[in-house]
Amino acid sequence: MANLIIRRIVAAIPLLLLLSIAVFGLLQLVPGGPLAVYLSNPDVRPEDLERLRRSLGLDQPVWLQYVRWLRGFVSGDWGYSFSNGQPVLERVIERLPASVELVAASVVVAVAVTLPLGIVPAIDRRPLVRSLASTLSFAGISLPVFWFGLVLQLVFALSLGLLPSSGRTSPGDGGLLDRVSHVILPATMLGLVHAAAWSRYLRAAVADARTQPFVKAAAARGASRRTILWRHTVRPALLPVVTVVLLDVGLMAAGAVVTESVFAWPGLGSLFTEALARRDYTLLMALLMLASTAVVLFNLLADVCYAIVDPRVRV
Amino acid sequence: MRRRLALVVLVALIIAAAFAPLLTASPPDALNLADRRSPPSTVHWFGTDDLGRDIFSRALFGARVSLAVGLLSAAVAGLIGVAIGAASGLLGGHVDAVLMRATDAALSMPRLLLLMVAAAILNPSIGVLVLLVGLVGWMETARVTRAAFLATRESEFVLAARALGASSWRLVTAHLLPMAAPAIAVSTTLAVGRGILLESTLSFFGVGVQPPAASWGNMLYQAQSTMSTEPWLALFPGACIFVTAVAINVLGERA
Repeated sequence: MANLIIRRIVAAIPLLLLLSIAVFGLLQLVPGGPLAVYLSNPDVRPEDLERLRRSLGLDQPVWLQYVRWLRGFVSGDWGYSFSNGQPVLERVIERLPASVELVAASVVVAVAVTLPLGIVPAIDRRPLVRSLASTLSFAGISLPVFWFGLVLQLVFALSLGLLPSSGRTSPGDGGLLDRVSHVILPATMLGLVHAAAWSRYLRAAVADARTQPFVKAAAARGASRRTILWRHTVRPALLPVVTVVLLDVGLMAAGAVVTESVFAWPGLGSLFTEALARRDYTLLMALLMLASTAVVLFNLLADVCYAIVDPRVRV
Repeated sequence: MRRRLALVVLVALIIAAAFAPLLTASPPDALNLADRRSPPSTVHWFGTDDLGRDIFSRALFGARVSLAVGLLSAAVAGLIGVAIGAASGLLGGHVDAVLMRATDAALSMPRLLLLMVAAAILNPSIGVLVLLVGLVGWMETARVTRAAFLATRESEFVLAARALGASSWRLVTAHLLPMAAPAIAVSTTLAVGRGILLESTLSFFGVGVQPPAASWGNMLYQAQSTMSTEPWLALFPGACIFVTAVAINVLGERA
């Protein structure tokens, strides 16, 4: 087991290096380079620019800049935000809790939708139920997420006035109820889209588990229908789905950019859109790396979990 | 049945987009300041925006941009994916290992974020946008192409062709690719839907198709701030994206 984990971690390192090269390379394409903001400013003299360039190491070869940047990133020195001079790490940590809260709430929503949508149609084989479930899944994977969010906002916040339309708390409030009511709509937006995909996996897995010999064996032993359903069908079917869920959580964090922007949720996603609007490249670079690392990490976690629940892959 | 319906919807959309000038009463960028912000009516089916532009007309002309970006970016993604998947499946060994690691790496990139940054840096024209969206969508096609190649590489008719002295090029074009075609078609179809969604998301953030040209995404970008007073500005373009994406996904469903 420990062996497997170590092997996976070692395999993830070149992946992360490749990603870091991609991110660094992308930011090299910025017209005018990192100092572009100063180029058009008449108050910044050319000699100041030169001095700045030297002090930031921008006069050195690109590969050396890359190594320095990577070393800094690994050791937690993420540089300073172009737009307000605050250390990037500080800005990220400031926003992290809101992001974690949103993703966690979304996972809860997604799982709550996935279970019935995946299990019921695999068991209740009436055509109406089945086509309803598959229609819902199709709708879910085809939804333009941001539009779905806007519609949710329009219906539940602006028209019906049931829930707040944006933000994480009401000013002057911040009690549990207030926070829950704020997170419902964004979590629904982010969660449902994933639930659509997850429920398709679950449905296939449940259908597959039903045909397994151990289900027949349980029925032959006289196990009750309920035992057969939950213990022998749903439980084994959940195993592969768990890995899909974990794989997706990393992506969910990235997808939160759209959700946070629609609902003005003060997490890393809206930090990203702010950084994008201000062309704050140091911040963007760090956020891109962070998002990629999250995806790779959850990949790793999924592999490990799969090995824990399914001994067959532990070789 | 469902797939036929989806096909009808898509063909109707493509025809409507192609003949947009004939189907709309006013051009998409015709201003009419006397008739601003009017809700959907028999004259303006989808209503008008803050400049009095007809939303139905903009949605139809926007369909041209959105569909073109979706289709062309899927073509780009398909070409890259087939090339990489074919090389991987045919050559095997180290080439395969390197290419598949690269595919894994590409799959673990947060594509949307990278695209947004790339689009913000490059300020792309629609052509460049197609390339960008295509560049992040080849991985699935590469995987299915490789899998199909691996599955047929050792089959008897391929061995026979090899024994008869067929060149690699001939093996690929005459035997392996035709066998892989159904899987490639499915993944490319899905790439069209993804391309449309990505374009609309980028445009929604203001880094995709730039106004005054209309695309479904940038119509939504402009509509976001007036959701409470003029919801039709957001509802119709979004519904267009939704319907198109559903139709494409139904069409691409593995039977």
